[in-house]
Amino acid sequence: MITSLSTLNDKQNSLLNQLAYVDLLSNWQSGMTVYEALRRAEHELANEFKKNDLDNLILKDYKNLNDSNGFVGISFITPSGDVGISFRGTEGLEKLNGLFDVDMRDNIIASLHGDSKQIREASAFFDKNKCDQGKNYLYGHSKGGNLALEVYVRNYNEIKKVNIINAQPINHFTLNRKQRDALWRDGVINAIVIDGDIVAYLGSSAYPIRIVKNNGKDNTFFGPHHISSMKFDDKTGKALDEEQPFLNYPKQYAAALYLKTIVTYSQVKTQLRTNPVVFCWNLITRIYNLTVNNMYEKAKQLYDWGIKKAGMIKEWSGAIAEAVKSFLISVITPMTTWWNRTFNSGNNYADENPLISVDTYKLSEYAQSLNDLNWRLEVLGVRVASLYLKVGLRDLKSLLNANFKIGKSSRLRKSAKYLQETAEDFEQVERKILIQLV
Amino acid sequence: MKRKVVFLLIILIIIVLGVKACMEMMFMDENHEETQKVMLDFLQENNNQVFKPIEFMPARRGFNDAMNVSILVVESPDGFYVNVRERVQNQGSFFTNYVNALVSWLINKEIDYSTVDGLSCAKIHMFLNQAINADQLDKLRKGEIEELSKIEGSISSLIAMETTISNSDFNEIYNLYKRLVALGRMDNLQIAFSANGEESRKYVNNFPLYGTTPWSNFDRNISHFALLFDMNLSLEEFTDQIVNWEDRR
Repeated sequence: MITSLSTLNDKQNSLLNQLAYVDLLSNWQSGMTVYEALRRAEHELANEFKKNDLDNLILKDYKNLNDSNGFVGISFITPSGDVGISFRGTEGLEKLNGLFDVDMRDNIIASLHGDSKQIREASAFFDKNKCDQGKNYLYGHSKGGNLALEVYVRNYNEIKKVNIINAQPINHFTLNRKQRDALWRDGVINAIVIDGDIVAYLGSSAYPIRIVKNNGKDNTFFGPHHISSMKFDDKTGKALDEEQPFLNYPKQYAAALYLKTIVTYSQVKTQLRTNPVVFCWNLITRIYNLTVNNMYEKAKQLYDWGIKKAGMIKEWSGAIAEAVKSFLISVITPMTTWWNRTFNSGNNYADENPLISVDTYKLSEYAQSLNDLNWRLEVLGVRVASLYLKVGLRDLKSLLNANFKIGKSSRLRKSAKYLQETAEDFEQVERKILIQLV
Repeated sequence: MKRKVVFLLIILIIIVLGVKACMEMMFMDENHEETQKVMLDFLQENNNQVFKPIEFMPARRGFNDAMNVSILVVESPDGFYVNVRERVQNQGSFFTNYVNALVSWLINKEIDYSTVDGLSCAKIHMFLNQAINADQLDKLRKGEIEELSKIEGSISSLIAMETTISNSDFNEIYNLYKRLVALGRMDNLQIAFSANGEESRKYVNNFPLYGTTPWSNFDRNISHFALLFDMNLSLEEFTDQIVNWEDRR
């Protein structure tokens, strides 16, 4: 048994959307259960209501003007006082002249002007049956969804949630800023669109929509429009989200694109002709809203988008670097090996003699010999310098040449230092190893 | 710009005509006789009786037709009407009001309507809220109407009077009302005056089918109509509610 309409799953909401399509017997009475009223008129739907714990809803009001202006609305109440109102969509169109029947005329007028007889009926029905504490929930499929949205934008502070399926979009060019903002309130509009439906594209959806999977039971062109085409998770009753809309419905996709364009174009043209001031004012407020109120939000969205893309590029570049690295390892490494083996003798010696012995005593001895040799060169240089006063101008050039070549050599000093330090380093390492061994 | 609008409109009309043509072709060959036969077989096999088809109302097809219903009206060997329904979205799955109609017929057999002068037609219709067991059905067959108190459901009564409201005997109608209330499970009573036509008889005999339309809309000859939900009225209250029903709405 349900207590509140706020916790219903998609399956239960879909049944409440279907409820408006039922023709109740004329002896219905306010206060009886919806289940009981259905038992009299629609056995099959009554069974579904019972199966899905909806049999304790109380019937509040029912209005069927299907033969005059096409409007049908039904309201019900939960034990906790939540009020639900479900509106009927357009059904039939059996013959060609059905395109111009009351329902279709109303659809066209509503789409172009955002107002029609059925919308006024729906508003009056809501006013009559609403919960004054604001615990109101609206339901509607197809045209019924359009009516629910129109009632919502006129009473957005009194409605908790709108659960619609394959709804004909409302003409958002006729809405003011507050109404448009209300359509984006968190979690208020639960607009489900079944994959392949085209009615939801008869205009622009100025509210969030959720595209769900089609169970494929009805493969006709308008099959996806039926509520019974929705695919549910059997355990949770949740409609399954569709990741690739229209993939299996190319004809409907083409029709949806075309209809969306032509309806939106017609709506703009109609608004420009009938309410040019309102249209322009709405346009200005939209631009203002975008530039002043939503600029930060849009900039943030753009930033997030950029970061996401940069992350993707980084990911791609990382992948490319890895690919290059593995290419180099697989191609360059064998080439390097071949090059070294062919042209680098030292590499070959190292390959052939992986172990070498180091005599640190001899290294120190060679270092000392180099230092001695350097000292003798320095002494010799001093003695050569003393000859400047003794040679004439003719031998001066030869003396300068000899003095330039003889003298203390920095290269010999560095070599001796290198040998000495190397010997000391090896000895130090040897001592450490010996200490560890002991 | 005008040329562009005209062009777009022409394309739209072509698409609509194309879709309509496809739809009409799709449904053109639908064989209602075949459907009727399947529905009749379903009813006969489930109840081991032979029913006589009276009327078939095919579901209205076309755009958004999933919730529309095909209905076959048949007459039982006992002479009461039964409706078999098939919803477009659940083809091959049938629902029938046979048990409701049978119980209603069994109860109607026990009610003496002849006590009311000027009565054109009258019937009660039982709407069961849960399945009825064979034992209860047997008792009803034997005329044990008191068994009704153990059966969950509600009763709607319809009385069609040939007379006008001004020359009707409300004492007689009230007595009938009291006897109907005494059955238990009475939920509402509909009474129509000057309802002597074929339309009203059709309506009363198969209220579960035609009852979706208000009686006064179904039979345009009706001069006065009332729908009562109070089953505890005195004669004065009863008369007042019928006479002033329009004002009370």
